Parts: sequence; C-alpha cells; structure tokens
Amino acid sequence: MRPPRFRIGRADWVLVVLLGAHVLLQVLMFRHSSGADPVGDEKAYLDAARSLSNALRDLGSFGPVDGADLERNVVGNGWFMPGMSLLLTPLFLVLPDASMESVRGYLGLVSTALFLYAAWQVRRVLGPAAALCFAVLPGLIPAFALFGVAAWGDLNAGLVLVVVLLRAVELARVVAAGSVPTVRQVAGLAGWAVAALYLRSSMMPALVTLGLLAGATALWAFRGRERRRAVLAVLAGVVVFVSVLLPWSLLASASLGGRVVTTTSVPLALANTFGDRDEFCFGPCDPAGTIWFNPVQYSREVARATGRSELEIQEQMSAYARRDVTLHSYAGDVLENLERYRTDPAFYLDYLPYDKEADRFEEESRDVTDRFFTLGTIVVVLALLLVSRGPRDRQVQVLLVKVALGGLLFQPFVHMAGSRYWTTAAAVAGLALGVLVTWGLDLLRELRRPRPGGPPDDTGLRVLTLLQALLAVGAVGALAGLHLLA
Amino acid sequence: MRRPTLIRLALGGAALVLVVVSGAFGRAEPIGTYRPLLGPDALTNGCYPLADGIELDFPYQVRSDRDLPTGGGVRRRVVLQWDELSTADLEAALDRSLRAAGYEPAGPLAWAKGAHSVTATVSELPDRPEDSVVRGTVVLHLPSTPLSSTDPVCADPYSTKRFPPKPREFP
Repeated sequence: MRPPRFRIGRADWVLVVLLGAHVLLQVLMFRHSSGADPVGDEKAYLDAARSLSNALRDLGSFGPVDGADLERNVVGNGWFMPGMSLLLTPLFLVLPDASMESVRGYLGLVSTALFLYAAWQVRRVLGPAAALCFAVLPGLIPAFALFGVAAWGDLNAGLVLVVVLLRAVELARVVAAGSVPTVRQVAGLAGWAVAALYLRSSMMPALVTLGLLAGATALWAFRGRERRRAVLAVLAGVVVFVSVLLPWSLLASASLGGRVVTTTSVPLALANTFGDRDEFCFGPCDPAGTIWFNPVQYSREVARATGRSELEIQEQMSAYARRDVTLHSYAGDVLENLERYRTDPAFYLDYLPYDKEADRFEEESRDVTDRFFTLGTIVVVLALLLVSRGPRDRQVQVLLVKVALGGLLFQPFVHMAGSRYWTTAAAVAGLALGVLVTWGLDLLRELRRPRPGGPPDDTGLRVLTLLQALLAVGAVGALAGLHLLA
Repeated sequence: MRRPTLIRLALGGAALVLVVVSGAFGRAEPIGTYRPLLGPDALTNGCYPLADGIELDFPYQVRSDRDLPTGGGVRRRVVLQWDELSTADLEAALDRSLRAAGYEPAGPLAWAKGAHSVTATVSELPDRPEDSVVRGTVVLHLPSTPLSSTDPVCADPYSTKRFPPKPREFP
C-alpha cells in the first residue's frame, strides 16, 4: 500500500486545534507544577545533567574532566540511563544553577516539541485520521501533559518509540514495494531506537523484538544479492545501536566493576517485587532509608569488605531474597503489579508539587485522566487481541503495535509497577487507536463499496497474520496463566 | 552547499561556541543524594572503636551496634556478618583478633582480659548458597566504649550502625 498522499484537508485544521489544546494543557500543567521540587528519580536525572554540563565545560576549557564526579552523578548506582540527563544538559550548560521553574519550563518545551514531531510523523505515515486520534490520546490526557514538565524519561521514551514504530512501518513499505531499505534509512531507525532506550531502559524487550523482526525480514523477504544488501543494512543498524549504547555500558561497567549493559536495577527490582525484603541484606537491611537505597548501601559495604564488585553482591542478595519464590507467589505478585500499573494514573498530579492543596484544576484533571485511562485500556486490549487479515500495511501496523505494547507490558513481570509507567505505553496506545480507527474507517468504506475478491494469497501476508495471532494468543495465555497460577 | 547542511553546520558551530564559553557561566553543583559517599566502617571510623584496641582480622560488615543495660552494667552488642571464610576459619580469625589485643580464651567463643570479657555467638546463614560471599552472623558482647571522636561521621547512623530506635507505631 502506498503512503497516503499529503494534502492539507479539513481534518488537518482540526488536528492543529487539537495539538494547540495539548500545548495549552502543557502550559496549564507548567502553572500547576512549575515550582515543584524534584521528586524521587527526578533528582538523579537532574544531577546527572549537572555533572554532564560540568564535563562539557571542562572539555571546552581543555581542562581535565572530573571522572569521579561523572561516576558518582551520571553512573550513580547504575539505575538510570542518561537520556533525560543528556536532554537537560544544554540547560545546565547555560544556567548552571537553573531554578526548578526553568528546569520544568525547559522540559515542557522539549516534550512539547517531541510530541508535535511524533504527531506530525503519525500524520505523515498513517494519515490525518490516525493523527487526530494521537492528538486526543495521549495528547489530551492531563496527567500525560503533567509528565511533560517532569524529568522522568517515561513520557519522552514513549514518544520516541512511536517515531521508531512509524519508521518501521515506512521501511516495511519499502520492502513491500520490492526494494531494499538503504543503510541510511535503517541506521536512522536504529538511532531513534537507541534514543528511546537511553530515555528508558525498559524499552529493551520491545526494541530487541523489533530488531529480530528486522533481521527476519531481511532474510525472508529477499533473495541473492538483495538479501546480502538487506542483511548489511540491518547489521549497519545494529552497529549504530550498539555504538551509541557502548559509551554508557562501558562507563557504567568500569565505574561499578561489573558488566552493565543498560541498567543495574533488575536484581534489586526482582528482589523488592517478588522476594522477601527482610532477607534482602542476608537478613534485614538497615532500618532507615528506602527499599532501593539500603540494599545498594549494604552491597557497597560487602564490596568494601571483600574487594568484590557491588553488582556481584547485589546479584547474590537478590537470589537469596528470592529463594522462596514459587510460581504461585510470582504470579500473584505480577497480578498485583499489573493492578498497580493501572490504578491511580493521576497520582502524580497530587505529587508535583506534593505540598499544595488540591484545587479545582487538579480535581478536574484527575477526573479527565481517569476517563481517558479507561479509553486507553480498552484500546490496548483491542490492539493486543485483534488480528488483521487485511492489506499488508495494516498487518504490519497491528503487528508493530502489538510488539511495542507487549514489550512495555513486560515491565510488571520483572519490576514493581507504579503510577508512572503507563505514560510510556500511552503514546503507543495513541498510535494503536489511530491504527484501529483507520482500520475501522476502511472497513466501513468497503462495506459501502465492496471490492471484488479478498486480499491476494501471499506467504508473506500469512506469516504476518500468524505472528499477530501468536502475539494475541500469547497475551491471552499470559494473563490466563497468571490467574491460574496465582 | 545545500541548505540543510548549512543549517546543521551553523547549529553544530553554535553548540561548539556554547561549550567553549560555558565555563564563564559558572559550574553546576550536583546534590549527589542518589549516590551518597560511602562512609567508613563502623569499627574503623574512630567513633566507637572496640574495647582494648581489638581489631577484627576478617572481612565483615557491621549490621547493628548498641549499648545494652545488663546486670553488671552497660554492655555493648555488635552484630556483624562475616564474608568468605568457613565457620572454622572465622572462629580461628576471631580468636586471633582477640589474642592480638591481649585477651585469653575463657571458654568456647569467650575471652577475658582482666575484668574485661568478650563473648561471641556465631551462626551460619540459613539456606546459604554454596558460592555466597556472605557466610553468617557474629554477635559480639563486649565492654562498652564511649564516643571517642567529634568527626561528623559519628552522627551518620549508616556509618556507625547505631540507628535510633524505631518510633513506636500506634494502631
């Protein structure tokens, strides 16, 4: 299927109005939260940005870079990849002691620009109806806009993932037209993919699956010389992805004395989520502090006593705390996690800032967020379950949306969920709504003017349908399995 | 040259200039709360050293340290975990450490030096995995030591392991 031709129509004017509404919402959220002190992990992202700006300053004045400062503030405990911090670095380069107002204002500008860019890409690749959907979901969700002025990477990671998926749709069109995507195109896609990863390491399952699909496409869709060219293009993408990831992995690994690919938080998260927290430090951890900091402090103490890496100790601690985990307890915890993932999506409205009395704006925003969240949940369920047997382009879109949503929903299986993680999936849910609505519109059109015959019988198409069906069955199976085991 | 190339060059140049002049704006100061510096160990930070200059000659981490009123006055209770050594090697190392401070054995896992006495309770980690670095817990009962330093680190319970008692919880 050819991409829709670009013409400015009536729908585009509606789109402009809706996007304007999103911008207005961000402005209102800025007013709501502009002075809010950094909350939780925001502090780490800001510190890393401060440290990165200092490193650039040192480079600019040809002085030595303070490696210890980078290790402490950028790598830290190895929990967070520095995507958000890199985005914030220019601000701290100009305003080293930037106030929270300027930080939140700057973050709002960046996320608004990214949202508008993502919406423009939806418009360009999937057409105006899909873009309208995207402008509404997630564009008009108040709590989503709130995260636009926050320093967590969840929201931006979701928006970048949408761009990745749209690029993948475009490349699939190139393949469908019988051509091999150029190295440049695939490398561009890989660049966006690794950017998404830097913003949020929970992207990994979705991105790895996309990479595998790209590899499979190169092998199956082409023969002979074309296949070699396609495989080379995919390899170029892998090289781009890995070489951008590598500086972080190397710095974090060297700093923490163990192998770090994306994040060190998995053993801690597994133990805190599924294990016995009273056994995490081979017994209870220190009585003050949090379930995240105390285990790290303890692992550093053991590392100091033994000269080993704190990461090795954390692995052992996690395994010890999880020694009594059964399938039954695991399934129960995952279900609880999924519940936590979807309860109280507007939680952070109350938290940013946490010391302000709830006003009418906040209450309305909560209400609207909850409603949109119900819509979003329905969209996600439909996108995971529905299987398209229609044209190749639609099948590709549905498959990609399934992969992305499935990959993001993998998070509650390994990590305690909270009221923040949905913001990543929200952007993909918006894309899914666009895909579903254009699908529905096409069906309506066909009902009115039926076209003779079904889609041509094609092996490639059947594989796409089969993959969609497998993912849908997998989603149902996973949920049913959890309920049976729990 | 094409227009996009020119724009890119201009943007790159502007970024470079910004980096070069950014030193003039001052330095950013990270707060560092997410990776606090690791304070020194509870028994070597100088705050509450072990009595009679006892130095433990094996890898350990202190888990808690407190003074407890007993019939014979205040006694100190230090709970620590030992690493890497077998139980027999740990007990030998413990004995070595106390003898080095002038203590004589006064029973199984008990030592005395004049009026001072030290006892230890050694327990292996339950369900200990074969390769576990942490091996078990030693509870030491020994003469109490007063605060011996004015270093601010002595106010940091993460270093001293003297955490204030938990506030009572009311239903």
